[in-house]
Amino acid sequence: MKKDENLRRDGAMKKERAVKREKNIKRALRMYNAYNPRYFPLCLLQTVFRNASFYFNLWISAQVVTALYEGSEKRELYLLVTAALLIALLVRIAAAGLDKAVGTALEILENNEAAAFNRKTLSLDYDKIENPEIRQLRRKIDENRSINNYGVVNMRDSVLSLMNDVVNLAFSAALFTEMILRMAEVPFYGLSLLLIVLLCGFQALNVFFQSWEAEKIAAGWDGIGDLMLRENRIYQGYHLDGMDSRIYRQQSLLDRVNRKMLDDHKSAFSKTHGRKFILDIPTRFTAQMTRLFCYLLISFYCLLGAFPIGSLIKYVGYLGRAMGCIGDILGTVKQCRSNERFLETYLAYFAVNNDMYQGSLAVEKRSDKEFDIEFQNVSFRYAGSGDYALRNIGLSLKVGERLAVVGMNGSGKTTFIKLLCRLYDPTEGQILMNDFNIRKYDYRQYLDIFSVVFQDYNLLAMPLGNNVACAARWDEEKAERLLREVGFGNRYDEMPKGLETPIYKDFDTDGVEVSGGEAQKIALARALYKDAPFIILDEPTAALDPIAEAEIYSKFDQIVGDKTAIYISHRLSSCRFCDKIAVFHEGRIVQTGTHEELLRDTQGKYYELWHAQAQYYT
Amino acid sequence: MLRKKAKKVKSKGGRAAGGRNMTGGDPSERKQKYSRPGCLIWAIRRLWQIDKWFVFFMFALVAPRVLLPLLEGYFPKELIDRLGAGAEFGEIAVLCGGFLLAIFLMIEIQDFISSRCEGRHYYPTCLYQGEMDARENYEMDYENTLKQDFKEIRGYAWRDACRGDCALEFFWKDLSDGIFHLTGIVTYGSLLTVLNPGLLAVVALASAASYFTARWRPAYYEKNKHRWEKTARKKDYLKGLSGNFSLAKDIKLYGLEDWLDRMMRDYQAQILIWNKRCRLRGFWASLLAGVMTLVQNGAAYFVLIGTLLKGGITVGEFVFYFNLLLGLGSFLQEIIEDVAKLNTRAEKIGYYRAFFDYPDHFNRGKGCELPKKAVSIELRDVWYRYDGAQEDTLKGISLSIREGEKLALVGMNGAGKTTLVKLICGMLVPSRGEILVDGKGIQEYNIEEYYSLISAVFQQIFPVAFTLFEFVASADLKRPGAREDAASAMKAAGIYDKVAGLPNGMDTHLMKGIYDDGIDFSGGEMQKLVLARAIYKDGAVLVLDEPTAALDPIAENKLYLQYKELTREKTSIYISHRFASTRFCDRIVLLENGVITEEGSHEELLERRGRYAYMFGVQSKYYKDGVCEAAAGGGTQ
Repeated sequence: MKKDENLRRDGAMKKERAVKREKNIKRALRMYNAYNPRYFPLCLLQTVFRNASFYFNLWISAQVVTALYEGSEKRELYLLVTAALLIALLVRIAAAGLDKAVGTALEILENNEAAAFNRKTLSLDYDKIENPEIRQLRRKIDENRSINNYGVVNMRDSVLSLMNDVVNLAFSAALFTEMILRMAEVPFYGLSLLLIVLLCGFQALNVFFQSWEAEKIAAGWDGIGDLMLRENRIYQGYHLDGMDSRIYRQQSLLDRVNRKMLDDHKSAFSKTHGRKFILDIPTRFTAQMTRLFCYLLISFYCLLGAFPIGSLIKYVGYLGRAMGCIGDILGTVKQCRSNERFLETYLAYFAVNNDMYQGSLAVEKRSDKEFDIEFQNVSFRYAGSGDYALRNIGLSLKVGERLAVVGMNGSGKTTFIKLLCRLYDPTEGQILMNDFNIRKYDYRQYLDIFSVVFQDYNLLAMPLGNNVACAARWDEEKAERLLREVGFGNRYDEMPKGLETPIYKDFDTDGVEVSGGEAQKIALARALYKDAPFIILDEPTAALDPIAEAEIYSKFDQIVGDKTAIYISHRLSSCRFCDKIAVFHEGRIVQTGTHEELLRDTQGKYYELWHAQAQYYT
Repeated sequence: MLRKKAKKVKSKGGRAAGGRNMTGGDPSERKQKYSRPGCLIWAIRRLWQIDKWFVFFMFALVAPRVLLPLLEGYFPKELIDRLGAGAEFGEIAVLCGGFLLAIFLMIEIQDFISSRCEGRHYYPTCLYQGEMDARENYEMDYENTLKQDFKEIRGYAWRDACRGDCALEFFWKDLSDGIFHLTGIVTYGSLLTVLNPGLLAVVALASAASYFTARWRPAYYEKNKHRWEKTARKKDYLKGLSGNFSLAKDIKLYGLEDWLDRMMRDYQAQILIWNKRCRLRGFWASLLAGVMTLVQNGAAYFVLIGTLLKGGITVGEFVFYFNLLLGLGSFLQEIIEDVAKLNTRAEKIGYYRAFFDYPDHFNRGKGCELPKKAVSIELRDVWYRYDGAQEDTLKGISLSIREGEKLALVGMNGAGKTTLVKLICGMLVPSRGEILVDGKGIQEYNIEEYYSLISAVFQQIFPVAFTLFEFVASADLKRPGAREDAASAMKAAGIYDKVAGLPNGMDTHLMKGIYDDGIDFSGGEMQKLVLARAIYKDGAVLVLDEPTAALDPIAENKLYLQYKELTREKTSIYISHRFASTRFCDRIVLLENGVITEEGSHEELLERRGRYAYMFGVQSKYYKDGVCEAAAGGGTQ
């Protein structure tokens, strides 16, 4: 009884899975087709012409041989051949034209697909982009595609192969009917029945063995696919630096990792290919047997006079091609099913939804930059992490203020900035701007009031002007002035093409490499170019030498102007030109106040931090 | 069922990396010192060393490949002739059975051999990749890897000889194809010559013409690809950008989404135009090929029909010869293709050889004995200029460091501090001058042994997916007590608490997403970890290049306090922008624009009121004022 129930439940689950699988395949197919709806119809047409060409050529040969046997006139023969060759040429031209059209259609489809994927990534909220699961998803899609075109490309190939097989079957079905009708015209013999039974029997066996073999070997292929996916991932983690690898002999360690993978690899490959050869024997045997009976049947009817000897070529050709199709279709269907799990990954990525609340309140464009920010009891925890990165943060920031944020590594300084810029929403508590929760503001407009130089800022391998303006065009005068202001002037004057000079040599040999310090200056100019009411600098002088650092310090007021500024640094000297200092420790703000106030508290964290550094300079 | 090979992506990130692994220039423009056939023979020899059976199977495959189509062609001929002659059904049955059995066996032989080949060809490639990795990361001079021409060779060797459709792996297919087609041409050709040599000429001409028309599109592509190749690379770069997570913050805050998207669409549109032009050439080529086919087949039909009507051949032979002609035509086209392919394959293999033959300067043979304890280092008029640079980075540095001395190296960005340290570490070879370690030139030591003297923390930190223990102790994992020593090194570097707090402790892998337990360390934590690695190694020379850039003041101070302990009985060199650190050194060297401008202890240099004193003053200003004026509570704006 219980067993029955289990079986039933298993059955139901399997069914459910199958339904879901079908749904996924359909959804992916619809989505893929929408990237360029012209592509698949064009492919169908192409397939029809290609097959037509094959069948037509076979037909010509048969006609010619028949005509030769029948002793036709020389003129008649030549006429037949010429006509046939000309038609073949026309079909071929049509096929070539279609090849061209299909090529373009495919390129457009792939472009649209790539752009859609890109747009999806760009449109995700930051917390989604940084979410490890979603990162994983994206990486998997890339990996799958690079290994075996798993995913949508594999699906596309399956559709094309199905198309080809079906068109083939349709063509040969028509010709097959012709053959049967011819056969019916002559008296029937027992031998022909036997031959037909054997033919069909072996064909059935062939299809059976083909799918049996595919089933048996599938695990082997999947094993190799998984092995490659795994290796690929592991390889990403072992890019050695030339100096480290020499001094710390990392290579010998890596060799061990490599050797292990190689051995797995070698055995998996030779085993699977060896197995495939053995498993294939029945398929190949039954295929030849089917061919044998096909030849015998047709020869038999030739002898009976049902059709001319030339037709032997034709019918054997048709049958041979059609018989392969049945097995192929089964194989393709199986391929579709095993590819479904990769489609699922693909669909899952597109199904990721932004769930950050999008407010509609307009951020006023205030000339007085009168934006006051207040953190009210804000706590934050990263997705998937048990510990709070920030706890009960309360802080207010008035317009035009300069706030220094200090603290040890991992005390939550950068997280604080990310919350302020609403890259994340607080887990608890709220952040107010001009008395409204920042969630209520239009997100894009809200982001527009911040200029940030993050610790791990990035420059693009594009012209300097693009990098400063973050757009296709730039205001030359403004960009140049700002670059000079941040102390990039000397290097800028050396650049022959000015703002047109490409940064890095990725694409242009006349590109320039910039040092860490110079890159930091460009990033700073970029932040200023945006000209937002808030400017936030996260360790902006880490890569600068003392002189360059001092230059930034001395110009800080001029650079920041009437903007509200937040300055994060391990170099506490920077606290000297800020109105207010917030000391972070283990996710909390432990002290706030001016430099002088904070130093008075000799038990405080600030005193400790300050003296750790300042003692050496007195 | 053909499986695609994994693409092994090898690129080092850093900046806004999309996929940075590009090398400019066209490989065909470069001249090589290896002959093309020589390269193929070299590659076969390498295969022979790795896998003798593979080489055997590779050549053995030709026999069934030539015989099979002959069987397949002869069978219908016999069948048609017998049927035409009015044979009995029994005779036909025996004939069909016999032929198909022979065909079946031939297919079995072919499949057996090719399955052996398929199963084997990937393994050598993995070996080659590993060898290249090892050579680049360990077995050759580090300096080579900075040179532009080496980078180019390496790029070609890696991309063309070791990856994807790689020459070293797939040349066997082309070679096997080439031999097959050549054998085919000889056999088919000699069969056909008997019939009609004129026909042979028509087929040969038509095939040659089709081949050359088929070259149109690729030739047009090659000729013009420089016009859109850059755009294509930029497009790929953009694609990589959207997946770059540290850039995501910048993208959001600077609103780059629309711009990046539009740029990508623009690039796509530009490339599409070129591809359309290429496809148009392809269309014309295939049209002309169609005409050539018409000429060839027409000639074949007319000649064969003529011969048949004269009674020269039977109908069966007509079919046989016709198929033979078609086969010969395609063989002729393919053999030209094969030769062209093998030619490029050989060229690519040449890059692989050039990579391995790239000259080294350091001594990798037997070297003189390593000093047992702290060493002295002496630089005598050392100059250095980077490959391709316009100017010398170091200009005549003479410096001697006593054994056990603690030296600080300061200077502005770009003064040459890091270069100097790389020279001492045996990474670079001076352009002029020499470096003596313990009285002997670095070249006199075996370079690998020499590296064992050095513990270094370099400015740039590269995490690798080793376990934390492996990362720290990679120099000698198996030493007894290695784990304890690694733990105490981690303690000294101030990272042990963090490591011990992980579920897998020291056996946690670095880098999230590579292994399931992987972890990403922050900049400060990585800096502590590489410090632990240097401490663990306990080499006679300790080099620290900006080891505190990402550390907070407390951690920084801790390192300063420990510095004496860390450098006990070691010669040490400390580079920093933070002048606080220089206090703990016996001597300070100020480097400016590649020359030593000041030298002495902290106090001496302050007294001199030179450049050092100025820089120190600039940095300490804010601190000093702070301490003095703290009580006054004065504004600082």
